[in-house]
Amino acid sequence: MNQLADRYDEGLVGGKLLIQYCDACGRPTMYPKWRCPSCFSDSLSFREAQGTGTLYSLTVQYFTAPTAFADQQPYALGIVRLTEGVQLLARLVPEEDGGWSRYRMDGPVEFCPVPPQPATDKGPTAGRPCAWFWLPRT
Amino acid sequence: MDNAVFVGIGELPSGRYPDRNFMGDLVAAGHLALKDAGLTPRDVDTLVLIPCLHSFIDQADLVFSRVVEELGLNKAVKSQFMVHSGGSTSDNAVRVAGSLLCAGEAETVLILQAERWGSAPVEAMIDSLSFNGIPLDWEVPAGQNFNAIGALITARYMHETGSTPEDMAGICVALRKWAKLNPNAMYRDKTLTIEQILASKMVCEPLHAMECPMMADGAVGLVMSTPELAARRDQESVRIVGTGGCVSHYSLGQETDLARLGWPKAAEMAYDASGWGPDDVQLAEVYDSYAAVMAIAFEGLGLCKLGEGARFIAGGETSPGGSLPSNTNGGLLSAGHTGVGGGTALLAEGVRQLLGRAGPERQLPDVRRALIGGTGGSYMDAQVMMLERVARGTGGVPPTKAAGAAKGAAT
Repeated sequence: MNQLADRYDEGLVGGKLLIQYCDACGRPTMYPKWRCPSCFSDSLSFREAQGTGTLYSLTVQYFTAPTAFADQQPYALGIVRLTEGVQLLARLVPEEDGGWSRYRMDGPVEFCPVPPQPATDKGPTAGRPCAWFWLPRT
Repeated sequence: MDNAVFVGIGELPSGRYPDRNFMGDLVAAGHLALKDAGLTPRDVDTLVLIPCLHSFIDQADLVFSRVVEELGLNKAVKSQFMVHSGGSTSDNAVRVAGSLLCAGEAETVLILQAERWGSAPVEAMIDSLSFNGIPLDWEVPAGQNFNAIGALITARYMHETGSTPEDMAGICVALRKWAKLNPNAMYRDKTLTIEQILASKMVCEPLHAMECPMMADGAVGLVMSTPELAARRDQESVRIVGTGGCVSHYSLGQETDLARLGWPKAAEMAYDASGWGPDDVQLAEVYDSYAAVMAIAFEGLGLCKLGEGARFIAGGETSPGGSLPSNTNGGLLSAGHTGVGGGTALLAEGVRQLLGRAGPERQLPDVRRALIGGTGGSYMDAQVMMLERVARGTGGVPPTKAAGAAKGAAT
């Protein structure tokens, strides 16, 4: 039983990025935790994120991915700072040409509710979803 | 840590050695270190073991006392145990061993490390690493892995400092110059140029293949004791002047300052504890599994100007003949990445230089003060240790205290 990860994953599968908020002090926390790291309350709830933020760093993986992800290469990983003030690691949706050349550090990105690629069916987290972000739709 | 000193080191060459064996390497490194200190296993009362990452079974052997049997120490040692914080393990092992010595819980400690990464199947090692220090719940499902972690840090560092691909590659070249003087280094025989690095394939943008650390076999032993025993045994020794540390995150995705990490806080603590400033550092041995990791540490430690770490190192300041010789064994990037042992090898090199035992080619003249910097996992922590050579016979007691003790003895 992994209540935190299961609940977070349910959100992603339903096209929602969830942020945990403390019921006592109201602060957001990421990644989900068993107790509020600020006031230590054990009463926390998930709420849907706005889905907007900026890209803090990114990389494109061409080689040396874990074997479960080898057939997804190349793929891009980014650290996204959400408008709510928390951050997370996410996959970045490729542009139409299959690359990621228009992504910029400190530039805006948005949560992509429908991943362009299914979760890997291999490895220790087979079938588990992850958050995807893309450039703002114009 | 006034009552703890290093008195001996041992190391086997790093690289790919399929004919060597894990336990054989551990025992060999232990005997080398003890011989270096003029001791035998019989002098050891406490064993501190640094984990290996290549095999859970071999690691279990460490936890459950196989080394005690191998060294013939059944019923002779008081305690043996493992300390583990990934790449910063050696820093924490010293913190623990030193504290035991200071508390009177130990008198002679043998710290041992061996790794078989270079001879293990590469894909299996990459896979095991992808969920060893990376959160299974939050980052593994996205395809996170250690080259990506290095790349995410490097990308942000370059973005904030304006460091160029040539600057970053130049760090790898600077490290190779030292490796060529180190008979234990994996790449002691191979020259490296910026052009070669930038022409190698892009692995994880902005990291090229030749900027990624090469997994290696290796083994290191360190002997620690008390100043009093060192004086009685007439050993050369190295004392710990002060330490500092900062654990900044677990998940790389939660690090809010990728281009600084925990270094500024750890550095401040270590400088306060030692009474040193950056100008007192004559030699630095700082974790360098990726070029940016070393540059970021240098900036946080105040060893160069903020934002200039890459250009400082690439420019030759830390190379042979430079103003601040650093990673004089070639670092993880050129001596070989021996898993948890990469930091151990840097620590051993620092102690070796201070003991004056680095050999004719790379021994620094008149080096007395060294800074050791380590980090583990996804660069989750920054660990800093200030080390100082002690004159034989004074047994590691700081000069002022030695004088005080002598006066006390006279009255």
